[in-house]
Amino acid sequence: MNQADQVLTPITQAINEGAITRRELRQLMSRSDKPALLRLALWLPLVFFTGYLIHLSIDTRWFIPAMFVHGIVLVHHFSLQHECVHYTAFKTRWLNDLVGNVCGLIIMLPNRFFRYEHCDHHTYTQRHGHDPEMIVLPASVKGYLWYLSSVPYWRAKISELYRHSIGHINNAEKKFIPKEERRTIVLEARLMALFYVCIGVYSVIQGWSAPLWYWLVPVVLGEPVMRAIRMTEHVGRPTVGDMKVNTRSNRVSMPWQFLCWNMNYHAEHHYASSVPFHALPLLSNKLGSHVYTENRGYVGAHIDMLAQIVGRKPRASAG
Amino acid sequence: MPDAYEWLSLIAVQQLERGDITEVTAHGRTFAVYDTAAGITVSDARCPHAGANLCLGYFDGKSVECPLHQGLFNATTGAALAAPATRPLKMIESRVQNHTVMIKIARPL
Ligand code: FES
Repeated sequence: MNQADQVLTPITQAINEGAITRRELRQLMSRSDKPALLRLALWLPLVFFTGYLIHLSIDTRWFIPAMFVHGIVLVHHFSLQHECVHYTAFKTRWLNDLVGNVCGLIIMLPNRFFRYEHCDHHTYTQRHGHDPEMIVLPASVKGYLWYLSSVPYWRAKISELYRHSIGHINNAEKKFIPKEERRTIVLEARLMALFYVCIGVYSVIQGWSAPLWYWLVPVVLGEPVMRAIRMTEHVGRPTVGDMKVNTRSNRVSMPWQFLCWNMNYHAEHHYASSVPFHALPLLSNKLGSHVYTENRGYVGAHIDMLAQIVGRKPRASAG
Repeated sequence: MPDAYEWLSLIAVQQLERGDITEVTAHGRTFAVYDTAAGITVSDARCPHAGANLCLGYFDGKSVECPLHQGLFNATTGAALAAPATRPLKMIESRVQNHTVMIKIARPL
């Protein structure tokens, strides 16, 4: 390899600048099944508990709020799936695949497809036309609320699943899905669609409404919260390749940190995506000012975005 | 006919990171030297998927995981073991002689 051919991962920059040594990085990258299994031991009861709240609230005015709370927990399966697509949730690789796929079924995000798409998000973070997960800073408050409603998100995800199920991978997706993997992506979409159809048909025939009230409606109600959280990661940060500025970490309270599997340390995660979720706080201590951190948390990040949207602050851009 | 390849010294064994990857720049290229459970192996340091530096990846004694997208490679054979890696890692023939890691590379014409 010639030096010029090498893609500079952000952590290379941090090592070159003396923020962390290779040995420290190696320690932080070490894998274990234990932290994720321990967290799951709290996670699963939490899912059942919030589901039980729905059961308790049937025929009361708390029914919709209970579904919303349960939905907030359900949509955070995204955070666990995200950790799994990086193979950093568990040391045992197949556990990452298994858990990632289960999470994907819960939130309708095909795991293999997400893995490929997410690779390009890491390569081209915040670069217009290249980052497939980029959320553009809305032009107006109306656009901001429209994005938060999750209507554009679901429209994109449902049409994506439909397209892949009928065997169509579009040109943008062909950039990150290698030829030899396209059949797998189509098969994955078909299996996922079949799973939903089977549940739908069975529910209608049997008059079984539980999937609706304990799963689908809560996920739809909870998704705006996940959209709001996902916006805090990059929206409103400069649309440049420099990881020091293009990503936002958020200081959040312990319950939110638990729910998002430490992904509030988002800039640290982009710096070294092989570092598992449980080591991100330690990585954060090491990187210090190498990353941009919003100390006011998710709310502060949205205040920042809105200030840019209404023109009280210059819009972060490529310039 | 003269041999088209030559053996060049790369790094003293005692300078290697134990049980880890050592990055070595020599002869105009950058190599990743792995202290695997089965012995020392050498590869091109560049990931064949998108060019990240594998020397900063996670190494468990058998396989190396790319630091950028977590593609996985067998550090002895170079075989691509997990997505998004589809092409094998370029391994460099190596041996240890007089406590030094030697690599076999093409002689410049
Ligand atoms: S650059 Fe190594 S897996 Fe993508």
